[in-house]
Amino acid sequence: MLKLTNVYYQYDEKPLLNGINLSVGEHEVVGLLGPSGSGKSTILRIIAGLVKPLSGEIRWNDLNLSEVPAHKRNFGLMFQDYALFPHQNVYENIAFGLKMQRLPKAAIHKRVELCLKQVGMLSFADRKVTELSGGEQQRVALARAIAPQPGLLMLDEPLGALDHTLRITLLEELRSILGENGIPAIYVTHDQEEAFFLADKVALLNQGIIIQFGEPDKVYRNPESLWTANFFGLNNILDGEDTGEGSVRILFPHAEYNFTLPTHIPSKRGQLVHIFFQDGVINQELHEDINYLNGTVIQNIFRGYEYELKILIEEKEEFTFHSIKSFPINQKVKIGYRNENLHFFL
Amino acid sequence: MRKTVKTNYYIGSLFFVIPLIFFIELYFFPLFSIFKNAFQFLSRELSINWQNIGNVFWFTLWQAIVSTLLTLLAGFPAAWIFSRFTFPGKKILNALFTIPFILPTVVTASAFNALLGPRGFINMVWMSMTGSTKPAVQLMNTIWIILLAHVFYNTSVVIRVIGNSWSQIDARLEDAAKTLGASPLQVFFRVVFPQLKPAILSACLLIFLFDFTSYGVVFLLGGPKFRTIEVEIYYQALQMLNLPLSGILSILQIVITIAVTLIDKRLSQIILINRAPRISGENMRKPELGLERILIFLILFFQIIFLLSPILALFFRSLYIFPSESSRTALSPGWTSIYYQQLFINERNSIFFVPPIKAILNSLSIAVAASGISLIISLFIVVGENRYPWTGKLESVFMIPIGTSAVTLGLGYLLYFGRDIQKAWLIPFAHSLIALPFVIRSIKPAIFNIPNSLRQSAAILGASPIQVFLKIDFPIIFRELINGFIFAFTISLGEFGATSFITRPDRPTIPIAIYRFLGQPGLMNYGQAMAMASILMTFCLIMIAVVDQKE
Repeated sequence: MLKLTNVYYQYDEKPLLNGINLSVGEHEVVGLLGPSGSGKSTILRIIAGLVKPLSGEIRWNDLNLSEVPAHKRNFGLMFQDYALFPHQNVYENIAFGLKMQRLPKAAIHKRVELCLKQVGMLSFADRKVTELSGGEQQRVALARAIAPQPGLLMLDEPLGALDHTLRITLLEELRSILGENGIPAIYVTHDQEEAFFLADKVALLNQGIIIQFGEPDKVYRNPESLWTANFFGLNNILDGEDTGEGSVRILFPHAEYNFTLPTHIPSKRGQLVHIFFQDGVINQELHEDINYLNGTVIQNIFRGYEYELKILIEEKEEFTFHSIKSFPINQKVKIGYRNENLHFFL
Repeated sequence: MRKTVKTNYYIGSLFFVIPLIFFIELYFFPLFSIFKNAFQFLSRELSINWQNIGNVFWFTLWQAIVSTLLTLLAGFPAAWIFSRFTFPGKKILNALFTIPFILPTVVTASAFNALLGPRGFINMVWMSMTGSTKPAVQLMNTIWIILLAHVFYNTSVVIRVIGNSWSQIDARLEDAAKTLGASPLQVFFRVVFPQLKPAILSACLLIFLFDFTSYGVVFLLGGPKFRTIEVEIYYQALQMLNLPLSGILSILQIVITIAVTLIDKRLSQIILINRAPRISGENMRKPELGLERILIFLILFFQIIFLLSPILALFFRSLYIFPSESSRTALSPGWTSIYYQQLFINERNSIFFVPPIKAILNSLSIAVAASGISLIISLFIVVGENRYPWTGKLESVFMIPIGTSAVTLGLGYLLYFGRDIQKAWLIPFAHSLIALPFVIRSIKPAIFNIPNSLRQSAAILGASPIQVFLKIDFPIIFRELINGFIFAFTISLGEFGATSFITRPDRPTIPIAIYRFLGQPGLMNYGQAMAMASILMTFCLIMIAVVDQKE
């Protein structure tokens, strides 16, 4: 397994990675998720050995990789631009890593055929890579990366350059190929759907720090910071003030709400507290500890399998909901939240 | 971390040190010798003939200015046609008009001799038609033939530089001016010319530089009367044995060249700023029927005549003996290959100690060696800069030799290598230094255009740094390497300035052989010069055709 401990890196005096700790287990796909400039690609380049970290340790099983050059690590890396060798055809591209291992010709041939078959490109072996479409190039790049049976496969935004429909098809293919080969992998992306779809675990990266790490659903359901909630596009957030008496008060022009501050948040009178409201139910009676917000429907867009509603909370803050049921514009609604669905951030 | 930085430094140093040694030994020390020699002399005695230097400088200056202006006049109409019109055969004409620029100076001189010299095509035809025994056109050893050759040489610069810039100027601006009531002349002077000015100036400076440092053309066509700085350096160094005076002239040449280059650099920045990207073809149209078509036809016709006639005359004179010539010798008139055959024979009273064909073999082997050296050194510089960016400072150092004329370089070798001047390795090394900037320009963009992710991919797939170069860089830039090799090869084949200083009597190169043939009386020598120049020209044409084809 791969283990990064306290990896720091800077470029042009600017810190890019500020102490990365990350591990990838056997047969595990880790999604490295973060906005552009968060340091995702740099982590891959450091693991691959293309970039030397300022400090920190990278271990592969029991081997310290710091003195192992890139070409001796036996990792696979797929670049966003695929980096196919323009002077070689599809077959030669895929055979490149195998030739470097000085395998006999017959063995190379067998392996290249197998990889071509896996990505469904068997008939393309003699084609020039410069004549391939984006999706085809992506498949060749993947085949080239897995051909030498790398100990670890790294994919740097592999679908970034492709259009939406192609991405969905390729994502499913990628998932089955990763599963078939059982190679541990790190998948870098800024797209949460891609990460959730492929990864066993996701690491959320911002400004060179891993903010949150865990299984995709757990991370998504339990954002630990305002930044995480914002990154996932969770916008139903209100700002309140700590009363210092175990509750948070939110003031509106014509109303006031009080919510109980959970004990894990250190209370300080007057401090700003953000509350993320998760999984609200509209106009339904709930039987447990319930918190309610009042609002007015201001927008209702039919999205096919659901309605997208915009509800103005207390004539001030806009919330978004996805609902099976339609609600007419201007209808007054009451939105209920369970206690565990309120998330407090400082 | 520290350790890797250090190893990085050591490997990078290798890319730095090898080209640097090459540069110091073949450029810096020779040039330093010129300076040292000149200043030592200046500090000891002051009896320099400044009057002579002044005369030479004045002649060099005014002939360069006049040549430049004439070139501008000669090339401007064609530049207009190439930038504004499409017509059948344009591509071929474009290639054709470039040919003079790539011809070695000795070939150009020989070609003008073949066309306008006393034995030249025009005079021979005139004499056989009129029966006169005196040539009608007596241009040899006059300023006119020098000016003509200079115009012939550089017309393609005007067409290329000004034409390119002109084709970038939006033609709709001219239409707009017309609708606003401007006459064609007003359109040109108020709309086109202001936008074209930087390109015109830039072309003029470039041509001025070529004409100012003209050597072979003046040397071979001007006779003893006309001496540019370059020619005077040769006379003073090798005939008067006044090395310090040559040194002072060399310094003068370098100073002027650097000054003009700096002005040109500023100008090219202005051109870059002014240039707005346009779709090519949008500004081009077919010529209209009538006056426009006739005008374009006439301009192109005379341009073709002017640029092609010396070249054709050269081939013709190497293959044909006029009846009036044959009467005084044992040669039979008509088409002949006798001049070419004679190249294989070592005559007893020959000006060579070896059959002249040896000069061709000699030149070819020098060219192979020079291109090889040039390619290897440029690879060190360019790959070094690509892999270890801090070595990049070296590249600008290597562009300096462009500002030093080949004659100055030859003088430097004479002073620095002293007795070693006769060593066989010196000529290929000198040629490789002269070709180096062109080779670097040919391969550098290719290396830098390779996305780094290709090299990184190869490394991750198990390729060591050397394998990355051999499997990725090398095959991808192969074409540019070949082009660079051909450039260097062509430059070496035609190199005359430096070679005239360091050649050995028994090991002439092709240009040296042509020069010696032309300096000797008699039809056979003249004919062999024509044959030799034709061979050299053919080599150059083939080389350029190969490069053009690939592109």
